[in-house]
Amino acid sequence: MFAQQTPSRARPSAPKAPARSTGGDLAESDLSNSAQIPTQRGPEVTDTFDPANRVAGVAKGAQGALIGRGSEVVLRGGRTARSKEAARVPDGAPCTVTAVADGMIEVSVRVGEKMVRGWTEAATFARNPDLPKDEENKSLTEDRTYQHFGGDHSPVDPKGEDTAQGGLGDCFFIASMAAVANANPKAIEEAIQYDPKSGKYKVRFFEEGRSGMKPVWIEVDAYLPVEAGGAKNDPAYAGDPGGKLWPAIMEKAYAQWKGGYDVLNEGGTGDEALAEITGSCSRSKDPARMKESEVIPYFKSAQEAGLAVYAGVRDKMAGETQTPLRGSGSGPYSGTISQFSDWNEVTPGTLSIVDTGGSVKEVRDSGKEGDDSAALRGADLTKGQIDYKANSVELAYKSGKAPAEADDLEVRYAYHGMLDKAKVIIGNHAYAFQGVVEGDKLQFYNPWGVGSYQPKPITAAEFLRYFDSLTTNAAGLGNKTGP
Amino acid sequence: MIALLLSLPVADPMTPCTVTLSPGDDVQAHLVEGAVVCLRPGVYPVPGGLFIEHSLTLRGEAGVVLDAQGRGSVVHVAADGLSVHLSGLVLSHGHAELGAGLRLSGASEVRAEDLAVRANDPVGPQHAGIGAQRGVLHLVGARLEGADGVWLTGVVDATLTDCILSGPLTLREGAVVRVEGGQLDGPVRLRGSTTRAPSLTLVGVRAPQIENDPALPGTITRAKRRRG
Repeated sequence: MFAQQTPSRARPSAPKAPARSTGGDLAESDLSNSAQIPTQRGPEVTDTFDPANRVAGVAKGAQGALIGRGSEVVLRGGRTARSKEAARVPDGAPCTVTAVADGMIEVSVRVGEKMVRGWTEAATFARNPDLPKDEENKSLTEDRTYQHFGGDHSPVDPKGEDTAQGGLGDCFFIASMAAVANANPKAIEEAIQYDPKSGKYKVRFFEEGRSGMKPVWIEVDAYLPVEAGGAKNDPAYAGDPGGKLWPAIMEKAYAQWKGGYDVLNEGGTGDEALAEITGSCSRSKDPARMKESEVIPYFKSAQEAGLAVYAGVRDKMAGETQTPLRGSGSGPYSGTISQFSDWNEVTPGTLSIVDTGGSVKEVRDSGKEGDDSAALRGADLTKGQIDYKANSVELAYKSGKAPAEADDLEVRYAYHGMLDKAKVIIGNHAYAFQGVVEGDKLQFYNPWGVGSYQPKPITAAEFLRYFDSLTTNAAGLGNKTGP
Repeated sequence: MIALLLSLPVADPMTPCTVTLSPGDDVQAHLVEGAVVCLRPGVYPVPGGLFIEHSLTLRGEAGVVLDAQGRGSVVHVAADGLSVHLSGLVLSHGHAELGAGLRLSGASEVRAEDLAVRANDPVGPQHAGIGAQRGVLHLVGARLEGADGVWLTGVVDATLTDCILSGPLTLREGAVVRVEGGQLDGPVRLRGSTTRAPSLTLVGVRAPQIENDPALPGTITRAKRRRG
């Protein structure tokens, strides 16, 4: 399922990856490190893309959507209304502006499995965050349309469980929103303001400048990406059908600020995202430096202090040594490495095949992050290949070179995907801490949303085994005290 | 904060050692305030990497390798307000995002001379052998080998003097970076946000592959290196 080590983390439908940070100690000083959140004197919008100013704002290279207000948008081969029709695209089709002239724009739009160009009125265009490339065909953008979600979706009594990551690799951001909502719902409520007149939202983030944190307000409309041709009212990224939409609004504003949904899809770090949401500095601790006896007291202290807590899971684990290869003589030998979860794959660059009888030299894979398959290398090999998706290996030795028995060939490797099936711990993924439960266990929230992928409570030892980053944030409440 | 950092004294590289260690000694245990830790040649296993929380100097003789054994940044400076001086170190086998070899996440000043960053396993697309999110970073004579690149983001002031990078140099957000001399063999990538842009000054160094984001570009200034 985890086809490749991508830099992002998303729901299983579009497996992705990371976000983290390390280092630091939770000291009392860490708990009073909040920048002062400015009083609400009406946000000064730092960055706004007003559809009313579409024409003036449109420039070559701009990313956005064609808004047909419920109707298809007609693209023509030329700038005049008499020009031949080039294509009809759905309302809300994402596009890139390729030329601007006389109140008209030429746009590039995905239609099926190709990109088409055509002209339409510039007033049809609304700037929106850039979308990621289609994973199957990088010459295309993801197959989405923008759908209008009318009404007021600003947060009311927000909770971490309102968040549900979609097909975008921004678990670092979704988990950060969840952690803040758990710790200080008011920080989320204050950050998102709806204007019923314009139907738009102003969303507050914080940017660290040379003299501290300063607020940044980003204005977005209520058009959200949905799967093209898919179910209505089902956001493609943050948000579930019928669920709260404030996470999707906040995600859109964050994407707009940072340069696009595609930028968020590259991953990020929880310490930065938490600070950008709350205006408080984040403090990190490296689980590798924690003693088992410190873990539960640390989380209890953070919980009592009302801190937002974010934690990241390592990206890979050493797999159990196996002897799956079958063959005889010089080969060929072939076999499949058994994985305890269908999601799991051998991590490229980690495979080693060792002859415990000492007859043939060690074999290693030559793969690197993102490879689907790779050649095997070894002084005694004539050929060898690993298919990472199938976890299968095939190799043959030179004439006269052979292990005494096939079972002498031990396969050693690291895997990625589901690190612990029983506890539902997903590798290279970010989580929000929810609380200490059952006296001495930790409950985390998976930002994929409420459902079967929520982890079970874990012990301190399990936390140290699987997690490699831990960040706390005062969540905009600087007068907290803690351990 | 940056102005304050610039006023911090950086330890004189010739300051006498307060402790001299050999391979097998616990380096982390000696990273205390004001220390000048000198390392004799050899490989120092530092599983999970070294975590620096105090102003100090860490100086290696020729042939000193710090080996994080595949977990964490080899050296991570996370605290604010520190002055840290590193020299003569090979940083290897780190496995982390945003700085598998060296990571600066605190608003501190780090001066690193004659570092070699190699054989690390950076996580994610950043390919960051060295990464900084905050503070001031001076790299002098650093050699980043293979895919290990330099990733500078957030609010960072950095200078790279006579450094050799085979991997990417990436500037994001409000990073202000000056590269003087050396070689940039990998791509140089810039992208800001809608509220700030990175700034790159190239002095006496060619950057054959510059990828400046068309929508949120950084600013690039070129100058000749003054001599004499």
